[in-house]
Amino acid sequence: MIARLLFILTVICLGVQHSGLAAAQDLLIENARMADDGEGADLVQISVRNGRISEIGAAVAAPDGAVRVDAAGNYVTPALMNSMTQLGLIEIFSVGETRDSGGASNDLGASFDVQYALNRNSILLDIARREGLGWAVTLPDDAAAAFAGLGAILHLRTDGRILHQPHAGLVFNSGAVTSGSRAANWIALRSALDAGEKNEPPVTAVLAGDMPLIVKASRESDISQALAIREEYGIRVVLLGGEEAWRLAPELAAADIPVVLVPHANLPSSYDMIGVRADNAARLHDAGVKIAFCVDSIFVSHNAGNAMRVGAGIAVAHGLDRRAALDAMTRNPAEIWGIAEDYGVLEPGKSADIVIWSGDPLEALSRPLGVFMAGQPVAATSRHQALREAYHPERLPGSD
Amino acid sequence: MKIGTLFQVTALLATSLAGCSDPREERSLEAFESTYTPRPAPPYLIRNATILDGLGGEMPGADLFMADGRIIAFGPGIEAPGDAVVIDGSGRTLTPGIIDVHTHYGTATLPYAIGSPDHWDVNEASDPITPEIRIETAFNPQDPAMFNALSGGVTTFQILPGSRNAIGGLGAVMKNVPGRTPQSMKFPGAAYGLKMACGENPKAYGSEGDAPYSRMGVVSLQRQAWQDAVDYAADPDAPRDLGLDVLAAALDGKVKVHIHCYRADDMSIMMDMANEFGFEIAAFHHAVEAYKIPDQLSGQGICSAVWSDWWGWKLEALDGIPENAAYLQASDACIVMHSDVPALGGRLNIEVAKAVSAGRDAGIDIPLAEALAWITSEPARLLGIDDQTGSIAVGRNADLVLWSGDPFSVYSRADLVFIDGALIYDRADPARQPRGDFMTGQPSAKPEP
Repeated sequence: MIARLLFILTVICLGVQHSGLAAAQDLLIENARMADDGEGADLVQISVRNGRISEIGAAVAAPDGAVRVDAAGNYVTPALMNSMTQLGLIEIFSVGETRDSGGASNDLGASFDVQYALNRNSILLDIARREGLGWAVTLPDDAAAAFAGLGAILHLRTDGRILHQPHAGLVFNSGAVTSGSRAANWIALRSALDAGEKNEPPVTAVLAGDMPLIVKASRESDISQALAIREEYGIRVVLLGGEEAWRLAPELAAADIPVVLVPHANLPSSYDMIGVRADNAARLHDAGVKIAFCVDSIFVSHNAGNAMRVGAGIAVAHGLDRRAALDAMTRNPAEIWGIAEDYGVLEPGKSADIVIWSGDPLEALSRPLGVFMAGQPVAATSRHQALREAYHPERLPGSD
Repeated sequence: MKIGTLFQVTALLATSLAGCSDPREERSLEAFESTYTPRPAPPYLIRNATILDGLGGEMPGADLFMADGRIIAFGPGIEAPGDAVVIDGSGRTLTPGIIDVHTHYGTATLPYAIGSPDHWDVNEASDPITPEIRIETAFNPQDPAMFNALSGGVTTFQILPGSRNAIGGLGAVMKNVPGRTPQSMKFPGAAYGLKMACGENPKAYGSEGDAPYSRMGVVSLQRQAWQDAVDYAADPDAPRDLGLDVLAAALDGKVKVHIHCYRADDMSIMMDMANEFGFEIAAFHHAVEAYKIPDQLSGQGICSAVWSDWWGWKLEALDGIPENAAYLQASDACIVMHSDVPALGGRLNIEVAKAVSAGRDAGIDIPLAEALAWITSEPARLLGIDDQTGSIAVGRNADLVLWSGDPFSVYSRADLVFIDGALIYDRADPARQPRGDFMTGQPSAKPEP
């Protein structure tokens, strides 16, 4: 059945290539199992018109001229969303001219805005798509100043129109500094919020509720400060990192502060996260905190899909509800980042960003069998894919 | 300790009686000798588990009996003496303990201190050629990372110096049994490993105005060092040189050579260098481009110690693909899955699953029981301890992990970890979940806020 599906996908890819234009190809995905509903769920059909889901049900009429895709009883989910990457801003981490994720050296502070650097030809994008990633928040990562700047929401459409929305939020760095005190950043934040008419435009937008303040914080003391800012200024706050957030789970739930976290984090990698726990995600979810996932370290952008997905499974092994783990990569980020009209669940009207998985989507051994972004199949054109074809053991180049 | 003392006495006798001793004994690498002793333990009988033996074999519904630190018997319907502690393995999987050939435990200790070298004893970055340095002289046995690895089933690990130096020094193989000193964790009798490095990291000296500045400089410094070792080995009267002792031992096959190398061209140059001077390369570590030259690697019997899917964070890692391990397996080349960083050291089983999955996507279906060898029997062979650990076989050390389910499922956890037949980690018993002194008394780590 898998072979049959792959064959169909190949046909689709060829069809798209030959048509030359990115004209929307309508689809009927048959025999799909909604991952949210688990193993016992009935199989459904999903019809896609003009890049959007038009109908889901036991028996759905195929749009005229639709390509039929047999999901063969496999799980389907929305394409996943990673809530903290530098996708589109980075190629090779150690090569400075391929990194556009930090603006501190230009002294732009809160006004630094990643939208002007996005590279739709980044080799990371096709790799992320092939891993089933459809959406990403891409954030400035400069830790040198209190404000890192403005992030953006990416929709990894195959036509290259990846910037879905600029101004996802304003990133504020709290936490460890190598000299001086972390108190200085909190004072700088309060001064910025209190500056009245002299406010920088991004700060005004945060105060007006047009976008959230994204607070990077790991240690409990900094998370407490974020709670205080939320209470005093009434602004929207999204917590990023939050390794010790479990210690303040009820307070975060009451303050309606969502937490973007690394689902598998369990090591005290810095002095700010000595209280890190593998069941952080589970405890936060159980307390009613809305959680969304990302990954860190070398994985942050280069393995933004797979590492997050497998990490979500590991969080389940440490007590997180399985459906909550899926939600933290789909429905929750859609709500946190204000894109729930377009994305987050498989239902009519949403962008047809759909992944057919070879097995349980949280298992490391599972992989995407088919990926559709806005109804368009993601072809096997990533640089990884090209290298793997070139060096396949069955056709290794001659010894030279 | 006794063996070491005897050895020294023998060496002394040989010197005094013969007047001119065997130079190789004087040039011994023995120092900081192991004081490890297995923990006392009752005999255990694990009943009705699925056994994956680490050599490709799978045996459902099997029992295993261990006593006196060894695997005594396994198979269906094993009898055990009445004093054996019986553990129900139903629904669970028993594997050999995981062996991680590339860690920096105890030397890049957690928490990492941003901007401070206090927690960093990985590179002796004063000279690009430092074969004389020994990682065990920097090992802090309280690093939280190795306890995390224990909870992920790691029973043996190698610590290596970092990759800053072209020739970085001696690593050491350790048992993951909490101890108070480096010596008390050292794997008795395991061969030392020598760390070398290719490419971008050793080049970094150039930014400070010192050689090497390029790959050419790295290789020329290495070749000169090996030539010096060849000359030294041929001259019994040469004054003792601790670094040349190490290189000479490597030429003699007594030290395993581990080379940090990403690019296929770098690896190819290293292979020629090894043949030029007559040492064997045990493994290329990281080896993200190994898939480009699997024929050469398998032809020379060199292992590739790899991650499942890291790529792109540095220029020489640009061509890393997740099919690397699967492609090597399809070409009969040796694969070992390593961690390098603590975040992977606690879930090497899942790294294997990711690599197997990538292989399947490329049409290479590797049975999981065979892939388990990448973190058990293959690293044991690479470290020269496969007669003691890394597989489930009668007489092997009882280094074992009982998993809550399929060890390649993200939902499974290591329930019990045995090292030399002693229960060192128990997921159900906080008293058997060592975390090290750093985590002791930390208010933020108390289970309830």
